Amino acid sequence: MRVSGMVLAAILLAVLPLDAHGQGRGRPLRVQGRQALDFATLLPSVPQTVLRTDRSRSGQFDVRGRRNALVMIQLTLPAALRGPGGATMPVAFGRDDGGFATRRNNPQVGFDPNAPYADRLSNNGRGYVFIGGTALPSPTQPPGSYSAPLVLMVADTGT
Amino acid sequence: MTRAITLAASVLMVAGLVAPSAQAQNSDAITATANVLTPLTVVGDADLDFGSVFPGVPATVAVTDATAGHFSVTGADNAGVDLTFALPTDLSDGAANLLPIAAWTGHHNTVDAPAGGTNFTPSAAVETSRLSTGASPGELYVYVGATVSPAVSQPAGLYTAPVTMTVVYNGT
Repeated sequence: MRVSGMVLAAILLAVLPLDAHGQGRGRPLRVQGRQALDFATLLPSVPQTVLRTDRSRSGQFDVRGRRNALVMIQLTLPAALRGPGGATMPVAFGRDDGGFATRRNNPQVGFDPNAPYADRLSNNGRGYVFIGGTALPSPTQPPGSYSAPLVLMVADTGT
Repeated sequence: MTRAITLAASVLMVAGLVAPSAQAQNSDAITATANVLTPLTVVGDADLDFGSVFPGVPATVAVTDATAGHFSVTGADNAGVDLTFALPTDLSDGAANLLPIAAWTGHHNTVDAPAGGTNFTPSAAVETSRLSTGASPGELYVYVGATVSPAVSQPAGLYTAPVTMTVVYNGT
């Protein structure tokens, strides 16, 4: 019985820190793509930039999770969009093309979307990630529709 | 002891079932999209042709002349473009004899006519224009004239030089 108590204590010590991280408590972490990053209509040889603050054209994700959770944000960004016949068009994401806010209409905090970024969800467990970028069509860019996925991964750091 | 181990295993299993890793991270994707319009095409349709010129007698080809240089541009409907020129200062007979050329004139128009559009002076400086819209969208026509000034002692021969026009979208 004495041994079993020690075993249980060890188990609890092992389990409690995980629970203390809150992963199993409250709202589970959830990421949802809300809006595509839309470069709209481009002309060959004319670069097109979409600002992260452009509400109608910036890429947008909604994040929900624990209240005040410190989350790690990691974007997987394409180097090029793919178009007709396998044509590619380079896209670039600058050091300030990522934005984070705890309310959709709050001012954003800029971050480099090419690197992991940590910030806290709001006190009701919400966060909003915005992404801008620049498309760089060449002078001989084949006409047509181009696209590529942008993936956002969010991890709860447990603090 | 056995009971304790069984209990411990159960707790671990439950802990595993509600493992934080299942909720500790999440991901989703959006799409980046773009629609690229028709590339610009520039065709030099007609040479700037001074015909036969006499030594000591300047000769001018106006943009309205049939022998004016002529370019056709096609691209996106109603798109703004920048025109720039690389122009020679002399024509050459290929044997080190030069025939000065200057006083460049130009006219760009969304219909293929050397009048009714915009007169300009071709040069390396940007001339802005816009492709047509409406029934025949995405067209522009450019006419080029100039004056050659043969010397009194100008050697006889055929003199030529390239006239290059570059057109790029300006995003307007």
